[in-house]
Amino acid sequence: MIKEDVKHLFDRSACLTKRQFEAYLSGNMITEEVYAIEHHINGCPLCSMAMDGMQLRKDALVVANQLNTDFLADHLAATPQQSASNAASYVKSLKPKEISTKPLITGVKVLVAIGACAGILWFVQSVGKNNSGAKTEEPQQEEVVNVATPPQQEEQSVVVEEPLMAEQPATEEPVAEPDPAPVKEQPAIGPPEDKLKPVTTKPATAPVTTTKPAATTAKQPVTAVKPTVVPPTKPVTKTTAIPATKPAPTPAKPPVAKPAPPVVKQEEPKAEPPKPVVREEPKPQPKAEQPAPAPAPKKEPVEELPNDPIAAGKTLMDKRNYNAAINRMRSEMRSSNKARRQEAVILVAKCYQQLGNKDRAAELLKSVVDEGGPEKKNAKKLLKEVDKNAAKEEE
Amino acid sequence: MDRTKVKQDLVPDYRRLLDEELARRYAEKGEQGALLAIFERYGHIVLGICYNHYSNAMDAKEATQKIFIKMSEELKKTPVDKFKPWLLKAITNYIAWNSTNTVPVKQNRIISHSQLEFEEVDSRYEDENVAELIYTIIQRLERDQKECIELFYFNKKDHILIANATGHTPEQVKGYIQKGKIFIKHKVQEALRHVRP
Repeated sequence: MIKEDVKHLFDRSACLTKRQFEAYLSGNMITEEVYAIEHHINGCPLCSMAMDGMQLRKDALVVANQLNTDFLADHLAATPQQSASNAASYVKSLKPKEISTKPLITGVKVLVAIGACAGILWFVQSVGKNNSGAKTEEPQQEEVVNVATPPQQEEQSVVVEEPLMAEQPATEEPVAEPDPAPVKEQPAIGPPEDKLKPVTTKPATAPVTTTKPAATTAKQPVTAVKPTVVPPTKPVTKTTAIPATKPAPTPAKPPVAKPAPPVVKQEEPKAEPPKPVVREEPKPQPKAEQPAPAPAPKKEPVEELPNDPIAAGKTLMDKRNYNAAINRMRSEMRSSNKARRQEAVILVAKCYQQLGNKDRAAELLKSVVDEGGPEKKNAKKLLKEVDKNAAKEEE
Repeated sequence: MDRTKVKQDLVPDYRRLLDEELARRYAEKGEQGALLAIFERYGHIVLGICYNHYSNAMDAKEATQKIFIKMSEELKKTPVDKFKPWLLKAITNYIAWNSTNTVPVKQNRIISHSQLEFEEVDSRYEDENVAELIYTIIQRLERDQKECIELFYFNKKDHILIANATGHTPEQVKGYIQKGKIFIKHKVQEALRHVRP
């Protein structure tokens, strides 16, 4: 048996929780639990020192319960970290690495596009110069087609075509014939241009009706490719059209909606004001009534108890409140004053006896008898009584 | 179903993890939940220790918070093999360094190195030969230490009962048991080194 006890001399256990501290200090523990806690304290300096500190102050556990993790959260939020309160967020934190490659790819694409545009510009300009020197019709048509093919770069193609516009007026009629071809080719280029077309065709059609058809054909390639340059015409149509539609509902709605909500609002406030008035009146009454009777009965017993734990314990015992008496005298059982300690132990033993825990009572009384001192005789007497009662109960 | 399983796997239950694992997770992965779990375990204990050195409750609370903030910084700098001794060292260092600037010490208790020993898992203690060795070492202990250890571990009496039986205060009883255990542990470790190098 002793060997088994020796084996468990160095058992390791988890540190004490708040509840265990609270229960141990308040004395609301059975002997086995007290023994287990003290077993841990014997081998854990942290809990041992914490217990010493908490025994010094009665409000220790109250302050311990007030401790929040808010200050840690604030501190961690202030310091740059990987964040991630759990593994999932940690996994999320890895994602930026994947995302970081995208800007690179897009940047490269832009650079390539700009390079291509620059090359095309240079090519077009060089060819245009050559053509202007030769003044032939057919090569110009090819150039227009070439210009129409890269319209993915919108602004740059527009810039290219403006000088062409300056050259083309000299040859308005011949250019008119090949124009339909590039216009037909454009839809085949891709959907991005489709979006541009409706925007550009509208302003183009307007001048077509007023001017010669040749001029319209000459302007078409230019207008078709410069959606951004033309906007002065678009906004006019759009602004006139959109405000006509958009503002219409907005002013139209409010007047419709306004009359309705005010009716509701007017009804609600009418209904609400009386409610708070009615609620406010009854609330203070029960509040005023409830606290008044509650503290009154509580204060009386607290005031009656003396400051001395033993005296308080005696008064509680007179009132047959044995558990409270034990809790009250628990601290005195650890007193360095032998006489007071023994007195407290005997009183606690009496309480245990009254509560029916005779083993614990006998154990405490035996400890006083073994120790010897002023309370030894009393302890012996009580021990005999406890033994007699136990024997009677057994019979 | 698969997604929920994956989520459960990814979100760890910090309450089940050891202190060292929590410290490692916070240091390496920056998991704040691990640090908060450490605070849940040891916040009240650190506060209790601070009560030994600070007379005012608010000062003790403030010291606790500062210790944990400093701990969060130190954990990232140095790896921790054994958390409890490390934590106790961190607390004592903080109190020692700030003792001049804090409120006058009420309970000036110096922590000696002998108190900084924690229980360690060692299966060799369960060996019968070692058990016999421990028993013989107990017989060689000082009278008070021997008495208290025998009453506590063999007679299963708590500190108050032992104090009443021996005439010591419960605090003295605790001290005798702790010192006796440390002495036994050192002797056993010495013996084991010689027997099984």
